Amino acid sequence: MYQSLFAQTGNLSWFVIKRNKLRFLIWLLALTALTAGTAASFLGLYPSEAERQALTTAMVNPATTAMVGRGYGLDNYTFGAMLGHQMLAMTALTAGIMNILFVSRNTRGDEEDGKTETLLALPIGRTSSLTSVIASALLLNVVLVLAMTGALVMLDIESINLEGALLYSAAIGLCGFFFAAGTAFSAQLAQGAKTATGLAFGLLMAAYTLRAVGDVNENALSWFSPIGWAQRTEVFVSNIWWPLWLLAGSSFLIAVAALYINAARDTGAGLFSASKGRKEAGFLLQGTGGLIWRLQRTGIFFWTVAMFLLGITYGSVLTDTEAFFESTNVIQGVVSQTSDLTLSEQFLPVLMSVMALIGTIPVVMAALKIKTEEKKDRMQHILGRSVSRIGQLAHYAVFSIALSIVMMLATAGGMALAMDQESLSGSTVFASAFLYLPAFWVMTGLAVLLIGFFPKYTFVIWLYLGYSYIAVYFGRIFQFPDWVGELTPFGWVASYPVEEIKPMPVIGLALVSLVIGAAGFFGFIRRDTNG
Amino acid sequence: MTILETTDLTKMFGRVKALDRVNIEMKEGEVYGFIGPNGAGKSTTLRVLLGAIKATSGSARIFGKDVWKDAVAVHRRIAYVPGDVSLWPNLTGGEVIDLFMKLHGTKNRGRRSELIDLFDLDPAKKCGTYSKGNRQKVALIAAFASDADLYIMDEPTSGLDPLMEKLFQKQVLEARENGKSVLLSSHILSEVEKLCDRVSIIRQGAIIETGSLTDLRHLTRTTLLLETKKPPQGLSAVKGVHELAHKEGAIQFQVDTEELDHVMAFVSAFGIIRLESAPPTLEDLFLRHYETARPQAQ
Repeated sequence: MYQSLFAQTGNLSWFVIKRNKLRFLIWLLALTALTAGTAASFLGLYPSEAERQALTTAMVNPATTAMVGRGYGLDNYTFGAMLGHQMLAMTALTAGIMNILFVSRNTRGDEEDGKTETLLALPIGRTSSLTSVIASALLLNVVLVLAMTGALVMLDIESINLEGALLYSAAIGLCGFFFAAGTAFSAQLAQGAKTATGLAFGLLMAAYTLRAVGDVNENALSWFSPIGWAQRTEVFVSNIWWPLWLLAGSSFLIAVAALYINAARDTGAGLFSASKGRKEAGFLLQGTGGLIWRLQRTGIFFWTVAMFLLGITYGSVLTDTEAFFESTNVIQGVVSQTSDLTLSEQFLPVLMSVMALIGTIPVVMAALKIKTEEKKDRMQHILGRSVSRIGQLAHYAVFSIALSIVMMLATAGGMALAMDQESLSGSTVFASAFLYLPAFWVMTGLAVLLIGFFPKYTFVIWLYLGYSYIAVYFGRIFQFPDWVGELTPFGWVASYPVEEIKPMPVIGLALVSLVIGAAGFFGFIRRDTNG
Repeated sequence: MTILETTDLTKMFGRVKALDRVNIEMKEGEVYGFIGPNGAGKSTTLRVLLGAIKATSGSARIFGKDVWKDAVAVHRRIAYVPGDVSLWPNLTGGEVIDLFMKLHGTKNRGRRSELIDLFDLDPAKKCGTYSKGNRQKVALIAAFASDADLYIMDEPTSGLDPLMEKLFQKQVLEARENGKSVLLSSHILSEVEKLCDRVSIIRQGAIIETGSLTDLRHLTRTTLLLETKKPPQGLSAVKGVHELAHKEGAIQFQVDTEELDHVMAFVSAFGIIRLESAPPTLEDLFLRHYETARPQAQ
């Protein structure tokens, strides 16, 4: 029994780790650096107790609660309480993304490429392949917990002791593993790697949103979210350990369920099997553009809906925030009093920058899709027929640009719909959203540049997007030096309506995107293609 | 009329010389075989011809046009079938065939359905559920349904069953009858022998033989099985005799085709009881070249 299911799991686990070691290393370093860096920056930002205490008034409002979670230990807002309150949910979310990408790549991704079958022909157990991926994910999260605990303890901050550091890291690591197990499960249901990843990301989004809604309305919804459980540890203040058992137990059950289905199902099959399709191409599938639309339409649909919902969520949170501050009169010190802008207007740029950075993901993905086609040997079918290289790449670039407009329309539309028009007009929301478009196009241009010259290194754009996120989002909170923000196109976008719209950054970004994009085309028509 | 011509085509991948001064000249209406072992440079040559990769030096022209600069114009008149066909898992075979024909600029519904019937493909199935052979069929149907003057095919029958292989061969011969040209890369010799007017053998990036099959046969050896009244003393020392071996009371050996005449004169003096000859096959030629390709291995 054990042999037939699990033979050689150990060897396979090492093989999985070996194949992913660079990816592991980058993720571990990034997450540990983010955690330690944030904790260290608190020391410089809020050296005195009075400053920390003053921050609580700014941090406790529906907008912030929706984003990071309910505050706790506010009567003595130590560095530890700050870290747990402001960073736990975000870091857990990031750890979730890491685990989803890792597991889906090594389960359904491999199965789709036929790698799993090659392995199954060897004397290994039926579920050894999946078990080894889950085991590697567990190891990855354990190493993450140790690294983060070590880094936090080494900072030697008074309120961040070993117990708290371990609990904080373990909550994040277990949250990550929960999503690893969840992805292993979703990979058993869906037949394609993309659907499996989509399901897992849906789970992550649901967990985050349930927590946000539950926290804002102070109801039980947060209890349906693993991220909510992690936050109930009230780490660094009360250090409650038992919610970790919820995380560990549910992860274990989900993993076992995944293994059970895996052992029972046929390789390559899923619960949702592929149906029969059309015998002939429809009127849309008439060329490169039609093909791109066909391959991406599902993703586009879900991203548009997600951005619209995100807009609605933030819009209603802003409305709540406005009401909150009106009733409590704590406006002093939070936002500038001299301004004649409404609160919503002052909060808008921060929220918009976050939504723009999220909206960039599908835009970049759309442009990079051409590289997937090349890697999977499918581009030769197109370029081997009467399609020029410029035409082919241009289709992807134009598609990516069109998508940027759709994303921002959906976001701003959702937000404007949910907003109270008196505190924030729809036109302000749309203007603020569209100001980000040139920054999107720089990302599209960068994607084209990488495709043209360094097709093997297109992952660099994700690192750059990660950097942009840290520079823009955390830059505001932690007051990084100006050049940190200026290294990303998003740092150049005017914080309308707080700042005025200046034409130079807009024109500058558009020009940069045009120049690097054109360079990318130049590289693409000259280089060898690989398939 | 020359339809495809390469002159000293060389391709470097970093420091590795993948193609070394490859010269091919293909005439209109010809079925041209391109054979060689795995990794010899067959696919690399075809990818240069398709304009997917750029030759380091030398030139390649199809229909008199440069394959790199005028790729799109060239592609309007060719149809290409890759050796390993990978398709979009969530598109159906029928959709892919239509898309390919559209991108090529062909509208020939009759030919399309005729070929789908002939190759026995279910066009309503998603490509993700097709076997390798079925994916190959999709590419072949799209190619043969496209109105092309030159078909470039890279090991097109890999994954096809023998029945489908026969159908494929029939399509190639039909195309030739209609005045089309076919460049067929393969390592299946029987296929090349059946279909090709001329062949080139490529090894380690260089073409080592080119000619019609009759030309190449002159370079081959005939295998003889001989039984004589008296033992043929000194046969092994005769010029042109190779691989002499005793077999069930008879002697088996190979003779260079051009030395056949005087070897026969030599053995007839011993009184021939039995003589069987096996015609030279491309296989022998192939194997001889491969063996000489790895002299260090012995």
